[in-house]
Amino acid sequence: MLDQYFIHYLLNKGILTHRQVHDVLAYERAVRVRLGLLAINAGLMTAAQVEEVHRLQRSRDKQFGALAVEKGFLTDEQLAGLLETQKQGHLPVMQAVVDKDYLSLEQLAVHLAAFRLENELTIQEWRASQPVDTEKIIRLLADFSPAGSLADTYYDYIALLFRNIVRFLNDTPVILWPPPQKDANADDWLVTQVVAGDVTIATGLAMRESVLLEVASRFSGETIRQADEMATDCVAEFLNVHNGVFGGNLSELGIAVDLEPQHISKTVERNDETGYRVAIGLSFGRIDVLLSVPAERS
Amino acid sequence: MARILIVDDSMMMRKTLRTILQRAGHIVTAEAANGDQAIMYYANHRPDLVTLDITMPGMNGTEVIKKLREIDPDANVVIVSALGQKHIIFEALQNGAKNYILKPITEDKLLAVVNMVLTHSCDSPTPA
Repeated sequence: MLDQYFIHYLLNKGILTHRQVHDVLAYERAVRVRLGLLAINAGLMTAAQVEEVHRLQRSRDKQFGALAVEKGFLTDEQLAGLLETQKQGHLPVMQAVVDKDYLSLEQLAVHLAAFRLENELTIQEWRASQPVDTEKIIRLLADFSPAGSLADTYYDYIALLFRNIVRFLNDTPVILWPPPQKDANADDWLVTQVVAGDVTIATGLAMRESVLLEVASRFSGETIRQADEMATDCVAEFLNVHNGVFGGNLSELGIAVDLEPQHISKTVERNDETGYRVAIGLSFGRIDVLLSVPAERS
Repeated sequence: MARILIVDDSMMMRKTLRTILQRAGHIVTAEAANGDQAIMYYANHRPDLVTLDITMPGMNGTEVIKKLREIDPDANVVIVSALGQKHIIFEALQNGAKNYILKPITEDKLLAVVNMVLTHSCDSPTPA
């Protein structure tokens, strides 16, 4: 987990750009051997079973291994063995930073020492660090504590959005915290949806038109070049599917919510913004996530 | 092969559903973008089955089902819903929806539910 946190540290210190961070994470992800592939290679699962688990992952917020065990394709012991094998073949992101020539080994060592000092980490703690956990990174970088009882819900929401960006948009998100200044065109488009019930949250995604087109294309699997009804529908549907999975997760905690219809609009300048804005960097631009309690229900 | 009415406010979802259903040999008789259109098209076309988005601006899915069943008590309605909307789905089923499908839609999932509803519909005795 800490090497992922370190990469975010390099980003937020301005040592790497968000595109470089994206490249590093994508490179690391590409080099990491997939669990499904390892399972096929070990003769533990068939390709059809791996595909079935991949399909399930698109509608259920669970890791590959957990679903494979749940379906009876793997035992707990077999999964533990595969995870160990995967770990051995895992390329640390720091190695990727050097491989991509973004930093020399010497530069990396200097920044690493500064990072450890700043975060009061011992070498032992560093070495003992666990594999990536998106939610922990978000908790380290974002601060929703003023939201009180809703803080955990917001952390969960952003962590799930990260996973859904990987699942549905095939991209590697990074959190930009504190959010960079809004630029004039950052909010070309705004798609919103209220998740209402035992907890009620107004959710929104703000983005430039170029980002809207790329999200629409990736979500629909088609090339979309114009910000027409099809494009805006695709992005609204992405938010709807994400919020649906979020609602499913809440439901497992005994929290009942429903989704209201999404709204999408060309954005006008908003001076009355309340709640939280989290900037997420993607390979093709930036999406700002807006989270708040709707005024009339707060 | 069945005649199917698609009801969804999202153009993307209508297109996805139409493509899958037509590829499987079904005929999409009409596409409605809201509840009012759905009721009008149902009355005009009398399709064998309706896929109905549960979350739409204006009249919601459950209200549409009630209206459709006033026109045709045996209407075959399949709800299309995002995850995490259990109690709305339950309400729709209580009001006469025959089955439901959760987004994201896949071809297998959609056709399995559509075929199941159509098969059960054929098995039912035809009212005299």
